[in-house]
Amino acid sequence: MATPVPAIEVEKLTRRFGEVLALDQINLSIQQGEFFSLLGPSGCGKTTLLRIIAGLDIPDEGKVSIGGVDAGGLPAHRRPVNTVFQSYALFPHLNVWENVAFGLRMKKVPPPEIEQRVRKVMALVEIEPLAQRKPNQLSGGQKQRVALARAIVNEPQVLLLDEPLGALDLKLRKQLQIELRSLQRRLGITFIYVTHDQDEALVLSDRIAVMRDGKVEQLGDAAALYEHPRTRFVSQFLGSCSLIEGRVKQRNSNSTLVETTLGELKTASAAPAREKITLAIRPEKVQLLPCPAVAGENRIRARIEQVIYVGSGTHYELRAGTQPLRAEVMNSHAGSNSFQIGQELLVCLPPEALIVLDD
Amino acid sequence: MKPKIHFGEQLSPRGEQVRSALTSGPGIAWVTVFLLVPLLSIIVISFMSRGTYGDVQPHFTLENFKRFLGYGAFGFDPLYPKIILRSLLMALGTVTLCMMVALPLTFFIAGLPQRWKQVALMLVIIPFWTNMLIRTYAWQIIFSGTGWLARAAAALGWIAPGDALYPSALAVFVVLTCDFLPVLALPLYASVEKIDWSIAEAASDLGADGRRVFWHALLPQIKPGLMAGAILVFIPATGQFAIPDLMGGAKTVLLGNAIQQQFGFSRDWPFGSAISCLAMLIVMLGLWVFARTAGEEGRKTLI
Repeated sequence: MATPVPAIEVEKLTRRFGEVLALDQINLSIQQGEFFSLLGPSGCGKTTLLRIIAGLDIPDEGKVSIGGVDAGGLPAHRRPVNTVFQSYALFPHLNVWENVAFGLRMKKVPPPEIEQRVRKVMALVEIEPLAQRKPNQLSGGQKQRVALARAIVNEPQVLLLDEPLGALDLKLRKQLQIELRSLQRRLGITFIYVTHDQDEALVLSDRIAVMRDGKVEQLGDAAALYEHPRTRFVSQFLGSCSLIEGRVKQRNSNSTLVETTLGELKTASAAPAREKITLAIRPEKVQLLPCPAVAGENRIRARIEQVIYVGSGTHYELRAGTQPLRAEVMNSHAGSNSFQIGQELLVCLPPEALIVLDD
Repeated sequence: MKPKIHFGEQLSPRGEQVRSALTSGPGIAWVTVFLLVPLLSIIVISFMSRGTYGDVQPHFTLENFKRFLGYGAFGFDPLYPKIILRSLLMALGTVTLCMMVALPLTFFIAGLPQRWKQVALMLVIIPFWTNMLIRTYAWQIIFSGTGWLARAAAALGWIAPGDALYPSALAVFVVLTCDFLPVLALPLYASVEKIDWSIAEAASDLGADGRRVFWHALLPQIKPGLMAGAILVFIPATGQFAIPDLMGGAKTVLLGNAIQQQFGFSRDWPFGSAISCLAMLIVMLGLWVFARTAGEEGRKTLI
């Protein structure tokens, strides 16, 4: 069986703004029907990449193919992609209906078909009652829906979304995230979603590319990125991690013994071929052992410096010697975790939870 | 008793009257003396008749308006309607030419780096500091047979060497356009500067080519500035006569010199007043039609 044509194929894409390298030899292949996120801090090049795919910016080097066709010579208005802009960029002089119909009118679709498709899409995103309103009479969430309707009514091969929920409050954002996900499943359109919000990326995406300084730092699905971050940057940007520096003491076939300031730690993964390595552990994997506990493998003594109660759970800032550690415990039973500030206790760092980073 | 809180002082009704008379009185007096009274007297005089020696006689008559519409002592002659039409066409032509020059100019200036913008705007405004007549005489020198422009035209074979480029319609419109350009370019620039380019990108993303991006995404954004500028050019251009006189060779009668002629040379104040009244009426009518067609935004620009 032949491999299906990727929706978007990006090869060695480079873009410079003066001295700044916004995109540095990016290679990406995005599958048909995929919800793909570009995640990274501001200035990492994710929006530039999106604009190049849309044809709104021109790369200095490299190639973009849309549905297997080289898009190099295609201007923005001839590309089979549509964009939902961060600022929505609705036409202020047109009402909602005219905004949604704009793309079809530009393509000279016959009016009865425009009428029918606009009505269908407006029903899909639930903005029918707003048809006659002007953009300045809409709330942020409503503008968002109009911007989405205006893009998907054209039935693009790929929908590009540039932080579409960035300007909305948290509650609305959560709601629209769920709607976006189900919309994407229903339409089957490939979505490329730019965001700096790691939670959003985790909730929405089939695959995520974590970007930094114009490069893709790591690519994978949500679980792979979260469970096996390869670099310090990814481990810190996607969730949080406690980092522990150490030296490899003994390599076994399926485990590594690492000498750290906390003593000897065993990790279940193989170490890279160098002596100095960094271990990372997710705060929810750190186990606080109720006293009295006995010392053992990967058990270290720590002191509680800070207790933060967040409702569903409790976060603890710990310190073992000079090494800071963070732990998160779910509050599954009432009064189950009654550790106090200043308390000394034993902490377990399970070998399979200790990740060995590449840098 | 609870102490009363006063925001500002309490004034008696009489005190309030005195205060408002003091604050808004001078403005009202100014407008009354210099605008309302002259305007009213023009309207009144336009219904009176001319005495033998050019004096104004208080006999009510519609003769002035009839004469204007072409029913004179020697039968029907549409001289004055033609003058009006000619003036309006000249004003419209000026507005159109100014727009055609100002649009690329303002987009160009708005695209310049910040410090060059200031310089470019200054260059647009500088001619404004010179008296209009002096500027026009300067144009006469440029357009004269020995001027560099005429010599360049002669070198290209457009005119015979030694010929001047004026008096001609071309000279009239070139000078009018250059004169009124800053009036249109400045309000237009204010709009162009504020353009939200993401809307142009959205239009292009939705399948609009360059021409339609301008028409559907940029033009609606700069419409207020463009309309304000057009009105600011149109109204004075309708009454303009010095430039057509100096550059066009005083062969054509326009609204401005028709009125001037009646008040000066012909000593027919009632008829001059009638032309003025009708000219104002026609301009106001034009603006009203414009406001109706331009819709809500147009009305806001007018007010």
